[in-house]
Amino acid sequence: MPISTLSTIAIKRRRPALPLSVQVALLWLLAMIACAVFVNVLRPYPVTQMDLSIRLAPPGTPGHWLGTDELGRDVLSRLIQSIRSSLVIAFGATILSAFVGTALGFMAAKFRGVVEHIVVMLADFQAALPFLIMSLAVLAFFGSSMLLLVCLMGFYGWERYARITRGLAISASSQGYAAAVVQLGATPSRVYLRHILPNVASTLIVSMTLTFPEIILMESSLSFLGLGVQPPDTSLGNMVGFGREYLTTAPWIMMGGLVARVRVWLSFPLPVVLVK
Amino acid sequence: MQRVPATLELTIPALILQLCFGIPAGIYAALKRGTIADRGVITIAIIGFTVPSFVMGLLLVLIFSVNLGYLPSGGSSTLQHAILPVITMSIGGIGVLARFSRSAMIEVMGQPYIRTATAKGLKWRDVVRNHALPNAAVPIVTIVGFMVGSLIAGAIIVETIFSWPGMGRLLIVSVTNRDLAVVQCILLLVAAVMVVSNLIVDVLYGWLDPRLRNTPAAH
Repeated sequence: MPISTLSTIAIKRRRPALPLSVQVALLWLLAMIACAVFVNVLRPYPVTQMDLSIRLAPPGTPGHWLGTDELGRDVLSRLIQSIRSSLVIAFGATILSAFVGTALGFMAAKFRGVVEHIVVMLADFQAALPFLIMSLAVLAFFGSSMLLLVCLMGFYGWERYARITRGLAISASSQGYAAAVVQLGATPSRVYLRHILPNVASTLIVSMTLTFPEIILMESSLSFLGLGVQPPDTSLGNMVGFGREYLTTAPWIMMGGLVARVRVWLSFPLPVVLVK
Repeated sequence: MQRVPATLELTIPALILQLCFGIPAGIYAALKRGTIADRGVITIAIIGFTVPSFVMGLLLVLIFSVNLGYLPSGGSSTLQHAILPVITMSIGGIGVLARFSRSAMIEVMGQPYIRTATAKGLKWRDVVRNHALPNAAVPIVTIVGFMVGSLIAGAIIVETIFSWPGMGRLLIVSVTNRDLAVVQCILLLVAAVMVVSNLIVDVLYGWLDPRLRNTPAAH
């Protein structure tokens, strides 16, 4: 057997090939992120550019490969823009909720007593009420804006981080290393941020990757109901929501959003399997 | 308030459908673990709960109302109008339930007392019915309790898709019109439903698991 084949076999043994589904998912995610970053270069038309002479053009029309919507706006451009706004909201919100949840979890673990009771009670409250209904109520009171939407979505799932962090931090502080650092005279913030946080980070990251697609789903549900991202800006749920009115005559307006959403949603958990 | 029955007309059949299909499918998959049937159930379950309800609803409308013309796409006058919304609402929950009851069942089937029961010479069916199912029921009941919340949230979206004149539709309309009193009222109602369903779940725990009955309240 030639040496080259042997060496490839050896390499294959060291790094088992990823399953095809994971590869496809990773590629898709990279493409999505690329879409979000290079949106200004990629999209062929501005999202608001209207051309009423070719409105509701079917997919495959030269110049508008995914067709146009009811105002003659290019569906492909709007799709790329949508992916960007959905991802921006989801990233911002995931980081926010991880931050809030972890901070509260640490606080509960540090102070115990009343603080812990309050945090756990809030977490129970958040877990019990359907989030969609709560966010609808908030939007009813404050109206809708991009910033508010990110902040609101940032409250999605914080109770999970808080619970995980609290549990892990309490068990960690009873372990030897935390006590040792405390004995060395470290301040509580140093103990929690420099020593306990790295030890619980892997669990939190897995939780983040699980929350991320859920936030995208929540945002698209809100936008679909017409209460999330407001026109002329667009998001995946928005495209589906407005495209719905043209379901019978121009289903392609909706389809792009649908397919992209389902793909993001299906792709996201797969890298988690990889990380595990 | 008169919108509540319309919502119940959707949520209760959806919940029943979820229970009737989700749990047996999960248990079946767990008992046939590793076979093609198991993989099929799991695949369908994953598709069921990853595809969001508004996508599922619109796809169903596209297939059954627009292309095939079997069922109406919106409104609420006849029984036929309710078919698509109920299916849309239940699919996600069926997926979740099937997955959870499968894993609960697999865990229970690996316990020593199942081996004891089998070793005693009991029939396979008796082992499953008398020894495995009651023990698998506790986690399943927990999930059902959580699913009531997601059903209510799902009702909002589904009622919008199918223009069903229920509570969810009312909530959306009043949010858009900033009709805060109505929003507050609905919020209160939903919170009450959640409290009651959690209470029912807690009571069911005691009924299902005698060990929990006499334990003192404070841990």
